[in-house]
Amino acid sequence: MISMMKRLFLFASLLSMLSSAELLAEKTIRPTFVPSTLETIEEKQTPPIHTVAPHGASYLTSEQGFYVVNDILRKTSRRTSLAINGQHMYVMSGDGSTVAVSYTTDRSVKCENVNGGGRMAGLQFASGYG
Amino acid sequence: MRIVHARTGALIETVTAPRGVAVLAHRSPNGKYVAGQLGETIDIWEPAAGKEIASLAMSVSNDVQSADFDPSSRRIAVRQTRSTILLFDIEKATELWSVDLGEPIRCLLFHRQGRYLLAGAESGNLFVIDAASGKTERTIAVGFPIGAISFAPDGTQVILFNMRGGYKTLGPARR
Repeated sequence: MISMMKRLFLFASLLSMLSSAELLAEKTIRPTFVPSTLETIEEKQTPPIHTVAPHGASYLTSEQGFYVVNDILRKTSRRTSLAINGQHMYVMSGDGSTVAVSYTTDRSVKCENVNGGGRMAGLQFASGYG
Repeated sequence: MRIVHARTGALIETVTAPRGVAVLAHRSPNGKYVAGQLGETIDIWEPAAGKEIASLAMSVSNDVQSADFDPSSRRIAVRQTRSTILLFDIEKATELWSVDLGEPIRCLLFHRQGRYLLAGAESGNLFVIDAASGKTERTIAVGFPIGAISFAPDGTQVILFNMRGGYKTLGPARR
């Protein structure tokens, strides 16, 4: 009989713990983006911005024959610069650490590390990009 | 389309678009789907299975900024016309909603929790759209043509880029 009571007590305690954990989880996954609370907290002037990392806010701006990679979130004005070689397009990684530059003039794609510069890799394409 | 390792340059994968070269290419966050636009048609396909999911007729040319997969990779938002946004369910291959915002839209971005879709307009309006219903929950006048949108890593702040240069950060009021 006592053993049965103990088991019931343990079961009730377990249920209570699970319920607390559920409440905690609800608090943890609370939305981080609340449209009604949005207001301007910062405004800055920069040259026109070419490419933006979706979740990193690094961006490229043009400056006298170069593209300059800046980083808003880390408050640094310059991370690296990339020479322009004919027609080009950019794809930036989500964290803003890498940018892939494709040059249509020599059919190549080069990946640049934007944390202070340095070419990471290059790949030549024999024909087109398809 | 060739996907290469950024550090080594090694070819990871070659993805062939169903109808040739795509001017816009997006890979879903889970890596399963690719969306590309050729002319005014957006193709969504699953490269690993060699399967085309859908071919959507648009009446506007999109680029990287004006289409976005949601974080679950189940939906994609694209501009259908200059002012109309279409949300497409990839797994069910059906249109979920289409909404005309009444002014030219330049860029789209999902919040990483997937509940909201943000649309930046050339007029300077930012539309915060409930992704489930397509209803605009809030319109914020930013004061410049919005060329791109980005979120801060913690997801609480949104950064809006002026097409003519400069940016504005919106976030919860600082106390």
